[in-house]
Amino acid sequence: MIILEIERFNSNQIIVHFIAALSLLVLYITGIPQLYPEHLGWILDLIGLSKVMFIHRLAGFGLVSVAVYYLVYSILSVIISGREYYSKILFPTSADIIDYVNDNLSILGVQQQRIDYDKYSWLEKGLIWSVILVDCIIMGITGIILFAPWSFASILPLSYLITIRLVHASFAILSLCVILPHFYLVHLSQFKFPMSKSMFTGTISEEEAREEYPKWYREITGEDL
Amino acid sequence: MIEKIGFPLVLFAMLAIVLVETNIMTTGIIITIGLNLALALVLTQILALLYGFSKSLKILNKTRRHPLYSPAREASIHAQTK
Repeated sequence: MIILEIERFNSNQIIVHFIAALSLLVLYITGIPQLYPEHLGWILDLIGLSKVMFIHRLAGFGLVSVAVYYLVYSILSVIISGREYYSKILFPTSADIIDYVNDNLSILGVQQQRIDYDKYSWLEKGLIWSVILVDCIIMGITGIILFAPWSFASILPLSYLITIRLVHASFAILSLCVILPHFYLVHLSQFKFPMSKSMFTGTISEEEAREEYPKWYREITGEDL
Repeated sequence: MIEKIGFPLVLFAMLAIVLVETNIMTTGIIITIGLNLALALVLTQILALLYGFSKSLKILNKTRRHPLYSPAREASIHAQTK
């Protein structure tokens, strides 16, 4: 049987990615100008500070909602599909660590290593974990506190609130520095330009799967490359 | 051409963010261009996201409206590719 397109993402993952990415990108557009008004003040002038803050909070609500939804979905998936499958696609394995070392050695020119990624590479797993830890947990918690600081004023001293604001801003910058290389990899890299459509269609071509994720391709087709 | 300048563009934007955040260089035209470039890249991503999602929805809708479309057949193909 000839398989031309292979399913890589299910409809749930596509929708979650869309909402989370859209919320995150809107959070950057509305949040970063507040950090650097001397360089990006024109955005605040164009939209208006109160509207920018409203959109920022709305996008934050979207991201937190989708994070909570995906957490519930993941727990249910573990219960229904079993932990083994889920831990393989989400948690880093020893093969990912080997791939990571080999890729870095390859970049440094120490050795030429053949790519043998599974369904999701170490870079993709790293990206999802950075979104979970930085954007959803750290930014989410600090964002909720900053959303209504007066509600936490009785529990947290003012110095804590100032620190939380600083943490929120610093991690936003860190998060942006993670998303920009992702932008390069899915839009500007040689083989993906102008954009990779697999996150929208949910499928990947057989050729692409064979080239980029050989281990996964061997697993699903039984073909020996 | 954009493939060739893509990497320096992203690197320049990231470098500007790092420089301004670490207080090494907080003012100047380089930082302003770098930060604006970073947000321009983010804006491009938003447009790409909306375009990709709407296009895939259009394709899905077109497929489902096709006279030969059968949900049972699609489920069977789905099960096979899985």
